[in-house]
Amino acid sequence: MILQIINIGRLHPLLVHLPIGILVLAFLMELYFRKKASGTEYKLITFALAMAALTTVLSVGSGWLLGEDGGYDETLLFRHRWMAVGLAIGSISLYLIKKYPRSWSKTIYLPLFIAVMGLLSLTGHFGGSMTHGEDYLFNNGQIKKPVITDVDKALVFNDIVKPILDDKCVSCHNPNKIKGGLIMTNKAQLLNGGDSGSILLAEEGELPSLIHHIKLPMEDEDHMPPKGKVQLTNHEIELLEWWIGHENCFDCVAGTLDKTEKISAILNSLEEDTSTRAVIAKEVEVVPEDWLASININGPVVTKLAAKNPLLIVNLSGIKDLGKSNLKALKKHAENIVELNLANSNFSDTISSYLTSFKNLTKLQLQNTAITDKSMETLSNLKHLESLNIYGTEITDKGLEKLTALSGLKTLYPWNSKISKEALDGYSSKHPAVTVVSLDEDLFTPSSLEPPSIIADTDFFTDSIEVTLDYFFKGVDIYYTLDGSEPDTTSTKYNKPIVLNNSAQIKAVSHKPGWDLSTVKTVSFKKSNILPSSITLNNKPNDKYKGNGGNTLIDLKRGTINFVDGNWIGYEGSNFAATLKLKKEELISTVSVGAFSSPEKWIFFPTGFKVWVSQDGNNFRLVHTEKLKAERPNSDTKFQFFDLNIPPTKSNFVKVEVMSQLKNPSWHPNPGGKSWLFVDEIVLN
Amino acid sequence: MSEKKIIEERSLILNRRSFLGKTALGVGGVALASLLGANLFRKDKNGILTKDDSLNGVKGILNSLHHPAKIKRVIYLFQSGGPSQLELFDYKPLLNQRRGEDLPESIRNGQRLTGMTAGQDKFPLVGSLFNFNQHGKNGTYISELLPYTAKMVDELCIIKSMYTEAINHDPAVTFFQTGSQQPGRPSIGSWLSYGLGSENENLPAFTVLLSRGTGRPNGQPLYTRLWGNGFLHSLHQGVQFRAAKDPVLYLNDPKGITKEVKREMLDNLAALNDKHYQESGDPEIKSRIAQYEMAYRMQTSVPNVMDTTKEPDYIYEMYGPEAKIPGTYAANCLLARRLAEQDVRFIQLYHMGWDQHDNLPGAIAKQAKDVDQASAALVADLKQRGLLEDTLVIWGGEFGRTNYSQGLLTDTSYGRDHHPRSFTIWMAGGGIKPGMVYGETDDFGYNIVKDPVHVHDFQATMLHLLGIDHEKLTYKYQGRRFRLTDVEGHIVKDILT
Repeated sequence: MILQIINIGRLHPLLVHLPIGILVLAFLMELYFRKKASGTEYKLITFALAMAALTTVLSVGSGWLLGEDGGYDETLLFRHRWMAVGLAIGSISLYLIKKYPRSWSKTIYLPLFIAVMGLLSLTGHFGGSMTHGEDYLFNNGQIKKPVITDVDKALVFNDIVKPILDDKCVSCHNPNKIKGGLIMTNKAQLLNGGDSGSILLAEEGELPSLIHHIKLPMEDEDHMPPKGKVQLTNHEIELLEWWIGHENCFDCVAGTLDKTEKISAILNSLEEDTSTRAVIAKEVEVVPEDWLASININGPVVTKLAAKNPLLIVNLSGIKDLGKSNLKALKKHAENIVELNLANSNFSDTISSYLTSFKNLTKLQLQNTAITDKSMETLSNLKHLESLNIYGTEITDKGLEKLTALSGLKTLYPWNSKISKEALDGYSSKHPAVTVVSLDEDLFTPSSLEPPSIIADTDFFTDSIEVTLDYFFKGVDIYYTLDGSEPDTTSTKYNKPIVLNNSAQIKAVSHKPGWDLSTVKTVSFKKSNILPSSITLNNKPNDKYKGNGGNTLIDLKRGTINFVDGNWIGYEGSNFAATLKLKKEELISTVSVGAFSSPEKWIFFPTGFKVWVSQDGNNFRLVHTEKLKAERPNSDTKFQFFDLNIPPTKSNFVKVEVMSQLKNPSWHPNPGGKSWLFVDEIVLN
Repeated sequence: MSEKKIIEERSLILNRRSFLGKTALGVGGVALASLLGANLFRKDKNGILTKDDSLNGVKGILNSLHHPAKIKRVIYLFQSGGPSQLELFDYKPLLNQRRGEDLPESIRNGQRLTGMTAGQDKFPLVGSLFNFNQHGKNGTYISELLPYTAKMVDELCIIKSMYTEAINHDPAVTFFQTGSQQPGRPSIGSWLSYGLGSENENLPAFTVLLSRGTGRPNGQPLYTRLWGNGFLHSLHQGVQFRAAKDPVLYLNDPKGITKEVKREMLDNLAALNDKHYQESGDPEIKSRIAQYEMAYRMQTSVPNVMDTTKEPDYIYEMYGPEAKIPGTYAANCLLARRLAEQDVRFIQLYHMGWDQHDNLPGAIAKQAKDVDQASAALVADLKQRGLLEDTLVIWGGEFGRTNYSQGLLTDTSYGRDHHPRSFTIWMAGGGIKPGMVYGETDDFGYNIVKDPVHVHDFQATMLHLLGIDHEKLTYKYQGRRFRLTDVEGHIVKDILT
């Protein structure tokens, strides 16, 4: 029953290993017990030989059936099969001779055993060749790819396509193991195709079966290479398609076929790495790990470029007590060092002669060190140098001249050295292959002028205040006005801090010849010489934004853009009203109220004000009413003082009401929601 | 038995004992045992194994790189919140032509929506309010919002075909930083610290700098776990440098403790710890001593690196006036360059405030102004110093924004919701093709039509540039080997030089 389920032939790979092991064991026992054979050993060896004979016969039987399935190289199969038959006869004979000794047995037994062992090796070898390929034993695992030095001259089939097929397909499609009747080792066989016809030709609108099988989903039984085998990479698939797309040309040269940008890139990646580092890597020996460990005992200095790579990178940057010994220690393997970083260290001319040992350097970083032109002579011996960084050094035009000896140089970083622009330009034109890295001076020149910054400690003052105007960019003049008029280049030019003795509005612009005038920056400064003694809020602010109660409004500390800073008083969906009590009777002509707006946060400027005055705190007289237009659609966060001019009145009490717009306007993302009113500082003058 | 042999044996026994002890206690210890096993005992010049007293900084698990690296360090300018690719890089005039029309279902194709727009009954298309102009040798379209970035376009590789799997901020940022949407895995910088260790023994291998944008000042918060070490040893977590008197928290000595007292205290503590170590052989003790020493050295190195007052004026002109204000994006970019000069391996910036669901035009203009000049200046500054050759600079957020308006579409205002299917990032630096635009989206700016790049592909490519095979840098935890790219990730070879 079970035999019907299992194809007996497929048991062959399991069974073949039994006679191999048992025969070898029997042979070894025979040799070992030869001198002191007794009854027990004799029985043991006889039993082993019996088992060997039995399993050999089973192996031959199953192997015969498996061979019938086909798909194997006929010559190899023939040899394997008949040698195995011989082996079976040999092992049965051995058993019989051992079990039933005759007078001639002794002379024939050992030679026959040796012959059987030889036959066993050969049979095993041919069997292995059939399943694993003939060169399996002698190949070191790496299929040698042809080296492409110039991909344009490469033969598309021989140099590009065939290596892919050899690598990924041929292990199952070779003359020894012809899966699907397909052999992929040469042109003729590829054109022949397999059991299901051509693999390269296709009907209009269909993929050639080679590509079709490769592109089937991994789960599909017909996907190639089969699941579990090494798959083709995307690049390899694209190369195969490209080749078949050009009528699977067998003799074409890569340079002559048209190709997409992607194919060109893939082709270029096939070229042998001829970079300086790759060439050096071939010339030098791998550095022993011991040496690396000893040199890195005080933290990492030398690192390998990568695993299995003999090249080294040395980082001595930032070390301020660098001396001869540091460089001498590296001398032993200086040839392996391709990158040396001495940036920001105390490296100087006195030890720069040690650099000559590092003849394979491709990258050298000397930025921000004390080296001068003297050291540049040493550098000219570094024939492989490709990148040199000397920014922030004292090197001058003379030093640059010495660098002309560096024929392989690709990148030079001379920023902030003492080399003149003219010398650099001259060098660049003489050495077009070198990229001299520098920034365009105008790169970070602003595209338009910004208004200047107006800086002061506070915008309230009781006596006087000093205000500074500043603009970041050089070559810019600042003009300003104090009377509220729009400033231009005829206004006062700023050259020293402005001292204000009275309330004022500073308006300032930036100007640079040849540029448009900046927009106007406006900041108001309030002088407050009438200080209220107390303030009473007529309605309670929102709990979250109550600050320090009414005192928040008269503490001469203005709220910032960050409206949760505790210097603001906030009302949700209601107006604000407060009464201020003065220390003594004062003549009041202006009431200034600071407010905040940030529509995104549902906060809006007031829509109106009312001001009352009183002598006794009971009878108030309305002296000012003002209505403001509602804010237009905007999302800016802003602050403004609203100056309310009232008829100059002597009074002891002032009452202010600030009207909120109560609800978000229709243009707001949340129209109709309760809007907020934020107030800070009420200043009387 | 020779003396050498005794030491050798002892070292093995001690390591094995503590290894087993740690395994019983928790998996965290295993990491350390393997971390330190490699270099705790080293042969000296005479070939004798010696206990390594100079265990400075953190040593990486990889003895050597898998292949030669193109870059030595990464500066990741993370734009948190999801910058709108349609206002900055991905020029789609069709959206302006068809403004207000409903997004065709054939384009949206059942894309899931966030809770914020799922309720909208109409998805009106909206094009950028800002103009695009061509820049650089290849005539790359860049928005007028990024005038400085436009000037540097020949240095950048702009990838217009990024896509992600997450649609909300936290999972999306976590996905970018750790390779998984669920929290708990190590972030990129931690993986690098674990794999490569620290180049500079005075500074951590992974530093983090945060800034808030002006576009949406109170926008999405960030969580410290985004620069967390996950299941790796805590040595590998990102160290946040703050814009304050104490840039690194708990680093400075308490009042009244002088440098000398501190040194003496550390020496005595180390002697005690060493005694304990001789008895128990627990490598964690060595690691603890190393951390104390690192913190001590950072007391000088951190203030040095944070002190930008000696930077010349022309540098501030490059990075912009804001670079003088600590805590701004521009100031952080300047710091990033200083950290790069000090061989810090992974410098992570986060700039918050790109989450513009409503009122996008006003907000993105400010937000773009925050980052434009300083980002471009960083690339230029690295270049003139020769650092761009082996540094990778990345600019990008966690996802893009929709081509239709969230909320009301008016003449001057609209919003955009999260869009994971396509967005733009840029990279510049070693191993990356400069002046390149990679990938393409359809005319609606909704779907990718050419060369899609998944988050894992991005991560695999970054690791590849650093000389790491993303499939080989793994850490075994809870019975399986984890890696940054999870079980996916293909190197984007087309953008590599």
